[in-house]
Amino acid sequence: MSEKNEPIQPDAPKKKYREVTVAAVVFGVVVGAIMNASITYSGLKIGFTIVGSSIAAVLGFGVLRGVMRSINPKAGSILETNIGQTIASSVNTTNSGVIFTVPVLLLLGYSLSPTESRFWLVTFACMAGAVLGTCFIIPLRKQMIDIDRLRFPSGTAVGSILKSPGAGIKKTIVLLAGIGVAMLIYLPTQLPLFHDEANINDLKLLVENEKISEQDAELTLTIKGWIDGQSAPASVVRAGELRLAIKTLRAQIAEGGDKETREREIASLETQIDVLEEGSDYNAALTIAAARATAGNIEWSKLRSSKNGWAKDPFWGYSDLRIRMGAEVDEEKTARAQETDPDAKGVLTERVDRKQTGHPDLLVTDSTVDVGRFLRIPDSAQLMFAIAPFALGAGYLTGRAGLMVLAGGVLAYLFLNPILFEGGLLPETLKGFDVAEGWGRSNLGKPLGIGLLLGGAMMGVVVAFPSIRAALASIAAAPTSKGGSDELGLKPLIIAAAGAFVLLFVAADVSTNEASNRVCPVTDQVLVAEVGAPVEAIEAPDGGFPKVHYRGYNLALADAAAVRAWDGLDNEARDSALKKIKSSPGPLSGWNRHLRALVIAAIGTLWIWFAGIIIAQCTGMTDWSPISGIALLTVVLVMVLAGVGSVIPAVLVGATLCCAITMSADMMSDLRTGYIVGAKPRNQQIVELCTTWIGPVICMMVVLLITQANLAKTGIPLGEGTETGAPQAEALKSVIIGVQGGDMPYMMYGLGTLLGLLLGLGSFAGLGVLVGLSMYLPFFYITTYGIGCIANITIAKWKGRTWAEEWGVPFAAGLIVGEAILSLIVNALIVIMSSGGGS
Amino acid sequence: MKLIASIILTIALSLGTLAAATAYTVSLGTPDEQLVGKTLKFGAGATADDEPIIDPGTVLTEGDLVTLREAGVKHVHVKEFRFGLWRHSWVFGLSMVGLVGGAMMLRVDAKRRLLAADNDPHGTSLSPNAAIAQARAAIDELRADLPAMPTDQDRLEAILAKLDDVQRVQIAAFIGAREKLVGRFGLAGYARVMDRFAASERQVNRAWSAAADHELYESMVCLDRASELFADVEPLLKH
Repeated sequence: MSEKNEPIQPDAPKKKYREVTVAAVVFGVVVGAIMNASITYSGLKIGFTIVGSSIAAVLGFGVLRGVMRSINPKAGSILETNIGQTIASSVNTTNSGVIFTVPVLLLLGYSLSPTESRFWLVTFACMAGAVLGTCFIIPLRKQMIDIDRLRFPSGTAVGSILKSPGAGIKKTIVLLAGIGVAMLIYLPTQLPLFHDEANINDLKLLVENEKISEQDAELTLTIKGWIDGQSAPASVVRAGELRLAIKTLRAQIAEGGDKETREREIASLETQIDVLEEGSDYNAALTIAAARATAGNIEWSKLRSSKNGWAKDPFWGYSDLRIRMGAEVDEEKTARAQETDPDAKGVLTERVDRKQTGHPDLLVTDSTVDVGRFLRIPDSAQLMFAIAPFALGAGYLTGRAGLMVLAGGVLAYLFLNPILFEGGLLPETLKGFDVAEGWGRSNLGKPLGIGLLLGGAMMGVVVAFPSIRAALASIAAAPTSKGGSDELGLKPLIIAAAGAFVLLFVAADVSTNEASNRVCPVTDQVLVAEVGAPVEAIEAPDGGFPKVHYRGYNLALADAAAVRAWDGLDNEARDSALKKIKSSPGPLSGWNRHLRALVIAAIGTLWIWFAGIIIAQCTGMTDWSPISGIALLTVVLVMVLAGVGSVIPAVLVGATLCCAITMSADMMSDLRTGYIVGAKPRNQQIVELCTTWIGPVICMMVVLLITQANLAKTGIPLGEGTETGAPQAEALKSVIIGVQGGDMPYMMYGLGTLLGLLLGLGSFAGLGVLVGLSMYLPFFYITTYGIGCIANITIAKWKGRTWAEEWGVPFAAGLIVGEAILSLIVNALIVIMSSGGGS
Repeated sequence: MKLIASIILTIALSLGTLAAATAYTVSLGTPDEQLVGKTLKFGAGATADDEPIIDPGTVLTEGDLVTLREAGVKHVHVKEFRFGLWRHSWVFGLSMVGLVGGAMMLRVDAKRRLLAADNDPHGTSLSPNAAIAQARAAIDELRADLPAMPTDQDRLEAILAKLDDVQRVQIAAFIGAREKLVGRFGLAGYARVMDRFAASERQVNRAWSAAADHELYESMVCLDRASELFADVEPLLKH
């Protein structure tokens, strides 16, 4: 033993403290890829995605610390697991960016095939976006994390998980308790996603409990009748036979058969099916099953399947508690009903039965609790709470600052909507609950909220400029200062960003050369048909539709005769034709194509930089990120600049932006986690830059696989009529159609921006961001989030700030992680069951 | 003053959003020549069956306006924005004045509080200078005590316990003193101080993680670095 005051330095170990290791990299890439693929599929199917950091952290413990430690006692260190989760989330995160934007091209009727340049353009653009997003946000790490100390609740939660080995058994138990509580609370919201086929004897009860509609019950009884009688109507069987013939023809095309002849045959068969099925509600799968059963190829009992329309009996959820509004009869409507049918039962008022189903509405559904209706607030106001442990945990971790988010929601849903409605300033056909349940958010909350967000972010950047400058100066001086080598310098970032910019320019340049119009401006014939559109596209001649160049557009025309007709038109007639097909040119339309692409790439890159800051700040302050709103704005921006017909370049830039901003938020959140555990930022930044491009490739491949499978099965790539409805892309599609139809309320966005700017003049520059965010998001998540904020404040007052941090943070972290783990399990089960044909 | 400023801001923001929400809402009291040719964004009026009297997308004609007025409809919602048709523009203007006024009041109040906080020698929380000094002292004490401990396990436990305290007390106090520091040094100066502080805090965090992973050497190296970096922060805090 040495003297007390002589420091002992233990011998330097043979191997350095494990941080960036082969095991961590392999783990991160593999787990990230698996999460990406499964979440892409479930995102296209049911519309939500999951951020993977917390799941990857938990899995990292299991694999790196658990399994690998049996081989190497030093494996699975806190920092190594941090690198593993950084890479996994880097590979996973871009799926939300891709599935929000890219599928909209398919929904609008454009194709995405690996034999076409468009597929690769989009893929490279998404890869460029991922790299750009990472590059742009890295220099702001110091400002956001070191200086502004943004909380990044999810990043903080992941830090809690990583620190659990050393935090002591009590804190680990508290973390696990949070995970357990979250899973218990969240489970009944997810169970109804799974179902059995309904029992015939239970149909009446299922209708009464609003699990299925009357029509579902009737169809089920009809199918039962066919099964029992071992026969189906001739028209149904014939439709099924025709569909089977179409499948055969498609398979022949795929094998290299004569495409033209077979497509003509398919079109003819489809017309026959339309005639047979006029007025009928049977789905395609049912007709095929009936045809197969009639031919003796399958048992009649196989018709009993939810895919054929047989009623579903979902597993138990909160709605099964049957906590409803009290019954309240509308005397007037009842009297009128009883005039025609004396036995008619009492008609409920709209206050308790909004959709007039005959049953009082549920106060507790599978995912929400409607406290407002219980308190009898006006229908045009809303006070619902989501059953969402994640929101509760995020609110707790945000604390007092989150009350501003709540304030914005209160402004929109408890003040703005009711006052406008009661003041008669909204369309007369709207009911109060229409306003509260969606109309208000879509038409008021979103444009004003996004505007406030933009204005608040702009003011935030202006006010934070001194600290941004100090942070950048520190990074630039890094190689010469103590501790400075911990940060990635500016030079590699500039090189990476320049490379990504070039990629974006190329993508914009090539895509603006493509014809975006879906209707011939001369003959009005449909050249590219939307999914589900009543009118089909005409067949392209050999070599594709002829193109002409006008006002910056390459326009596709139906045939040579249309080209001749176009040549004979004067400019006024041509402009009129463009307006008719909703392809009016924009300010850049008359420019040289390459210059236009350069401007789009430059504005796109600048906008990506700014949007990345907004998203990272929102995530840092609240854990919410308005990615879809910013993506919508991006698509609108490009369409306005390049012309409202420029859908392909707009979606391409939108996809680039979405990938960029998801990576910005993810990188910052991971760096916050790294800060908590003492990781070297440089290591996380390098591994993220090296792996971020993988995610978009995987995602695009999965989208391709899904669309090819859908095309082979149904002839439809995505959307209605397939199992992958792509709901988020549908939302973007409706915005694109809105822009083309002149429906965008640009002034509301502008006025919101002005309000956001002015709000930021006070002592808190980011106030507009917080208020705008909550006007834009669904209120029921904000209210639950607000409970978390209030819980933090209350506990801090009661037990002291230190206690609230020490014990509250791990529990809140557990809530966030528990919901994420359960969501992933549910996603995985959906994927497995879908591929196995189960339900 | 903060309360009054917050009330003004709340009222101004509420009025501003209300006014902005009516940007495309036009009164049917407006002269016909300003309304004819405008396109309805939403259906106008409502029949007994809750269907619109005039469908969305319709370009308004004089006849449409007569029909709507006879039905008692007061407003329509159009796609085109015209400043002259925006009845509540004055409300929006008022709200902007309120927002600017409220923001200025908040700034004045914030400046006053910063000065007061910085000049208060009897503040209840640990001062930034004291927090840094105590953190450094605690780490140096730990470094001095470690050699005397009987085993590496004892050293690792001591590191975890001591750093838990430093993170919970001194570091938390320093982070909580943002207002004081901004008041003292301005935003740019605060940024420089936090930049140095963050580097030292990261070393403390890394030392903690290494100790939790039984990496004694790494932990002690990080403690050495943390002590040096805290020493770099102290001169920055002098006026």
